[in-house]
Amino acid sequence: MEIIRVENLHKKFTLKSKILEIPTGLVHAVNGVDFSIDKGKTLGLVGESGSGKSTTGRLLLRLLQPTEGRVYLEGRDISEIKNREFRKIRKDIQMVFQNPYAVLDYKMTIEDILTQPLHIHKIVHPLEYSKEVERLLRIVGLSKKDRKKFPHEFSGGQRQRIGIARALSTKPKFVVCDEPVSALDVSVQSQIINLLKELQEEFHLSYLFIAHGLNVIKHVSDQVAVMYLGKIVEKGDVEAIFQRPKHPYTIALMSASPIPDPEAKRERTHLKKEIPSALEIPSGCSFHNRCPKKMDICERVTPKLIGEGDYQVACHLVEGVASHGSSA
Amino acid sequence: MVHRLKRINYPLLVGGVLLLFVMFAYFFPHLLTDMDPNVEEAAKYIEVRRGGELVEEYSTRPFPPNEENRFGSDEAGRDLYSRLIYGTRNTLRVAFSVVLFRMLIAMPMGIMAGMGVKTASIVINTFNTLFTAIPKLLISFVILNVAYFRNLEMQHSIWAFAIVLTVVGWSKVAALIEDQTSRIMQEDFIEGEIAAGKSYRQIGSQNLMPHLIPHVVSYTFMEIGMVLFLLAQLAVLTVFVGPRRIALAESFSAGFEMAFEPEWGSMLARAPIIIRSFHDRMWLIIYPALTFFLAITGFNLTGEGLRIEFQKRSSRVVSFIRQGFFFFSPRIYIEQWKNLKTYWRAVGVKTLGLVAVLLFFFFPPEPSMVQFNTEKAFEHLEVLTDESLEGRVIGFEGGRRSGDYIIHTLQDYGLEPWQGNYYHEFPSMDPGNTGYFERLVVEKATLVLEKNGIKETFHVNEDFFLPHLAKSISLDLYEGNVPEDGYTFEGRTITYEEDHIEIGLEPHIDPIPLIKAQGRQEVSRYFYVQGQSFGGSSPTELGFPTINAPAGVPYRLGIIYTDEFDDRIINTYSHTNTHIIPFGELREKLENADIHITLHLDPPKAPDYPGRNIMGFLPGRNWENEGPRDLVIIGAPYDGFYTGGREGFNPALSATAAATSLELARALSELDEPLEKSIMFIFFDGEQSEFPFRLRGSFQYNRSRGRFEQADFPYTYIEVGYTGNNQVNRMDINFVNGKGPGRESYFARDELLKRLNDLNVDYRMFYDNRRMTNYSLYSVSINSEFSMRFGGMYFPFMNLREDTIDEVNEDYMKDLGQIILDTVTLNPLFNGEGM
Repeated sequence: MEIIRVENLHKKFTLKSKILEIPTGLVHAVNGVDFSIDKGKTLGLVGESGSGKSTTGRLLLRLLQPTEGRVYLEGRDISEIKNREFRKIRKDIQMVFQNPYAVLDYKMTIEDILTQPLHIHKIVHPLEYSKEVERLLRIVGLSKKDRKKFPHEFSGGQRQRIGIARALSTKPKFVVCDEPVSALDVSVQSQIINLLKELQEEFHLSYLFIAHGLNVIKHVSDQVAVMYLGKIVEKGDVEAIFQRPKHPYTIALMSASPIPDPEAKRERTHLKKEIPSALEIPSGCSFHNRCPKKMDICERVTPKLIGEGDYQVACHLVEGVASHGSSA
Repeated sequence: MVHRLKRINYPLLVGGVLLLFVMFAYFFPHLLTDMDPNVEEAAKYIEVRRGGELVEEYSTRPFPPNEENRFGSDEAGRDLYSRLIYGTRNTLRVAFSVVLFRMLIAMPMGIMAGMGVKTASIVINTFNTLFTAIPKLLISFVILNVAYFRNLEMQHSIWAFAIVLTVVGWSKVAALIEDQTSRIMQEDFIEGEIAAGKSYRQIGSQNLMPHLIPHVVSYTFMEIGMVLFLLAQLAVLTVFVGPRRIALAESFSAGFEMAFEPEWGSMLARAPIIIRSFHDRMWLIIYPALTFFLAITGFNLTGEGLRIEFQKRSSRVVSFIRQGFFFFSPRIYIEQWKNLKTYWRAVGVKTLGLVAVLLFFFFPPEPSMVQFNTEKAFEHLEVLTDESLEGRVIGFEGGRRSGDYIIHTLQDYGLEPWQGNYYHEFPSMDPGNTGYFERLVVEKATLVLEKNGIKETFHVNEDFFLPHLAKSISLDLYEGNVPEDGYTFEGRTITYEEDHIEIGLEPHIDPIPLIKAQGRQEVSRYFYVQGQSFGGSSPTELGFPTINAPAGVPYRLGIIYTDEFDDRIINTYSHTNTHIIPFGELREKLENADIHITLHLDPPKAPDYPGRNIMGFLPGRNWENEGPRDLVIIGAPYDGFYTGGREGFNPALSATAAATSLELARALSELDEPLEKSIMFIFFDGEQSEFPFRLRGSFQYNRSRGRFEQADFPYTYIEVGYTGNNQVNRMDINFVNGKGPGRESYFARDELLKRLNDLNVDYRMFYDNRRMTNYSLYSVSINSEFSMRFGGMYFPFMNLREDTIDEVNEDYMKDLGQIILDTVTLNPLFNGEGM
C-alpha cells in the first residue's frame, strides 16, 4: 500500500540582485521528481551535494513550497491544502534533521521539547505528558533523568536520539530522515541507524532516507533513487541498483564508494570535470558533459525515466538496449 | 577562588543594591524618615556644625543641612530628605507608567515586525525617523508645558506625562525588539518547530518569547533609567508632574510656581535660578541630582546584570516559567479535580492558594466601629429649622433658643462641660473701630416715591431689599440713641452724567451723589452679602458702588441693581452706607431721574443676647493619665440667616452642620469603650458673619483659648461643614497642616484617603494653605497639629427659596458623618494608637 506518492515535483529558486531585487538567475533545484513509497518501506535518496535531495525532503514537509507538482499522502492529495489544515497533517509526516543541535531550541529542556508536539497535536491527555516523555526517552535509548537537561548538555549522538524522539512523539506514519547520521562519528552512526530500523519495525514507519553515503543507504533502504541536478536518474530495488547499476552516474558513484578491503578489485570510473552549477544546467541530459559514454542525442534530448515495474532509468544508452519507446 | 570571583555578576549586584534602597523608599517611606514632607517652616533655630562643634543658629528658609534636616530644606522650608524619600513614589510612578506603556506598544509591534508583518515595520521606522529629527526633549517640553497640563492634579498629571512620553519614545525600543526578533527567527531551530506543526503564533509565544525575554527585561530596566533621565531634564525646564501653587512674595523671591506634592523633578525645577547662588544653596541642587543619579544608575546596572544572567545557557528560569503556566492553568486544575484520587495533593495546594488570593482582594474593609444615623441627624435638623427660630440669628431669640437646644441635647448624651462651662459667651454686637457689618434685624421699612405729585409706597422684602444700613445707625443702637420715629432719608434723584442719579438726603441737606451701579460692571468682587467670602465659593453677584462718599456726609443711600433678587434672603448688615436693592416695579420706576424718595426705617432690632460658643466634652482614656493629653476638637457652625422677613423661606443647609455634629456626639458618646483621645465638641455661633471676623465664634474661640487654659493641650481639629443639596455629588474635603513638622499629617491624610476609598465616597480634596481657606478652619487650625474640614463652606443654593429640608442630600450627610466617625475611631492617628 502506498503511503507517499510524489508526482512531477518542481522547485525553482529565483535569485535576486541585492539592489532593487531584480531577478538575476534561476535555480531549478528539483526538476520533475516522481516516486512512491509503500507502507513500512524505506526509500533511499542518494546524490551529491547540490543534487536537490534535501530540498525534496523539505518539499514533502512543506518547509518549502513546491513550484509545481503533487504530493499524495495515503492516496489523499495534500498539495493544495491550506496551511491551517496542513498543520494537522504534520502529525503524520515528520522529519529527522541533519544537525540536531541547530534544530532543537537550546533554551528548552528536553522535557519541553518533547512535550510541545504532544500538546499541539493532542496526542495524549495533558496529565499524561510526563509519562509519555519518559516512554519516548526510553524508546530512543535515553534515560528519564535526562528530562530536565538542555540540548547542549548532550553529545551529538544523544542529540540525534532526541531529534528522533521528537519526530516520533506525534506517532507519525512517514518520516523523512535528512542525512541523519552525516554529522556523527562512524561508531555512533551505526547505533543511530540500527535504532531507526528497529523503530521502523516496531511502529510500522515508512522512511524517505536521504543521504550521500552509499553504504548507509544500502544498509537501510528497500528501494533507492539516485538524484542528479534535480532529477532522478535511476530508481529501483536496493539490490538491483547496487548489483547492476545501469546509469553511468550511478556506476560512477558505486565505483567511488570505498570498500574496506584492500584486496578487493575495483574498477574506478572517473568522471570528467565537476558537477555544474545549478544555475547553468546543461541542455538535454543534464549529465552529458561528464558522461564517459556520451552520445550525440544526449546533448539535445532529455531522457525520460523509463523502466519495467519498479526499476527505472533515465538514460539514452539504456533505452537503446531495452527497446522501449523511442526518443523524440 | 579567582574562578568564583569571575562568576559574580557585578552589574547585577551593584544595581540590585541601589534598587533595593530605591524600592524601599518607594514602599516604606515612613520607615526612612520621621518628618512630614509637606510642612513648611518659615524660620527656626537650627543646630549646625561650625568648626567641629554643634552651634545653634537662627535661620530662615531655605535651611542648610542641620541636625534636624539632614539634607537641609527647600525654599519653602520643607525638609529635603523626607521630600526626596516620599517623592520616590511619585517620580517612579511616572517612570514606570511611561515604560509600561512604551513596552505595551513596542512589544507587539516589534515582534510583529520581526516576524514579517511589513506594516508594523514601516510604522516603527516612521516614528523613529520622525523623532530622530525632532528631539524628544524639546517636543515633550513644548507639549507638557501647556497651561492645561501644568494644572492637572497628580493622578492625571502622571497619565498625561505617561501618554506624551510614550508616544514620543516607544519606537526606539520597538526597533530593538524588532531586530532581536528577526535574529531569533532566523535560527535553525525555527525550522524544526515548524516541522513539529506549530503555527506562527505558537512559535511566537513558545519559542520566541523565552529567547526574547532576557533582552526585553534588559531593555525595560534601561528604559526606566532613560525615562528618569528625561524627567530630570524636563524638570530643569520646569516641567514636572503634580499640581503647583504660586508661592507668594512673602519672604523670598516673588511669584514662582512651587510643587505641592513631593517629587524629585519638582525639586530640580528651580535649579537654573538657584545655581546662580550655588555656594549658598548647594544642597538644593546636589541632593535631588544625586538621587536621580543613583536611581538611574541602579536601573541601568540591574538591566545589564539581568541580561547577563538570562543569557547564561543553563538558566532554568524559562523552563520554570513554563512549568508555572502548566501549574496555574485552569483547565489542568479542572482535570485534576476530576481525577481527585490521584491528584489530591496538587488540588489541595491550588485551592488553598485560590482562597488566599480571593481573600486578599475581596477582603471587606474594616467595618466602622460606630454607625452614623442619618435619621437622628435629621430629627435635629427639623428642630433647628423650625420657623419659630427665625433662622437662628446670633444674638437674637431664635439663635438663643437653638443654642439652648444644643446644650440640652449634649447634656442628654452625657457629655461633660468643658472646664465647668457648657458655653462661652462673646459680644454679638461690637462696633469696634469701624462699626462694620454687624447683623441687624430689620422688620419694617418703607420707601415712598413721589413723582409728579403721586406718592407710592413700597415695602422691604416685598419690593426691595435692605442689605446695608449706615454704621451710624448701628452706633445709635449700640449707644441706645435710637430715635423713636426711626430714620428717614429724603431727597431727589438727579441725573448726573449718564450713569448717575443724584439724590439729596435729610437731615444733612445738600444733594449728594447717589450712585446707580449698573449690574455687574463695577463690581468689587471680593465683597459679598451672604455666605462665606473666601476660597472657591461662588458669591452672589451684586454690583457695588465704588465711588467714595464725599466727606462729612453721614447719610447716603445707594441703589443697587442686580438681576438675582427674588429668590434669596438678604440679611441686613451695617456698613458705611445704606443700600437698597429694588426689584420689580420699584426698579423700573427708579430708573428715571427727578424722583423724590423717602425711605422710612423703623429702628432695626439689635441683638438681645451675646453670641455663644457651645462646648461638650467627652473624656477619653488619656484624660486621667499622666502623659500627653491631646484632644480632638470637632467644630460646627450653628447659626443662620434671618428668615422672619420673608414668607416661604426656610433654609435648611445652614443648620446641617450642627445637626450632623449632634449626631456625632451621640454616636461617640455611646461607644462601649471610650477612645484613647478625648473629644471636645464645639458649636460656633456667628459664623454667618462677614469679615472682619470679630463676631465669628471661631475667632472668639481661638482668641479665648488662653483664658480657658487650653494652651496645654495639643489638638487636632475636625470641622463639620455644611451638607450639600441633591445637586451636589462630591464632598469637599479640606486638609490643612498645623504647626508641627512631624510626619503625622501626611500619614493621617493617607489613612483618610484609604478610608474614603473603602467607603466609596466621591470627594474632592483641597489643601488650601491657611490663607485661602474658610475662616473658621483657618483660625482654629493655627494652633492645631493639623486640621480637616469635611463638607462645603458655601453652596450657591444656600439661603435661597429652594433651600429646604427636602433638598438636603441624605447620602452626602451620611458620608460626611460616617467618615468623621471612622476617622476618629479607626484612623490610628486619631484614636491614639499612633503609627
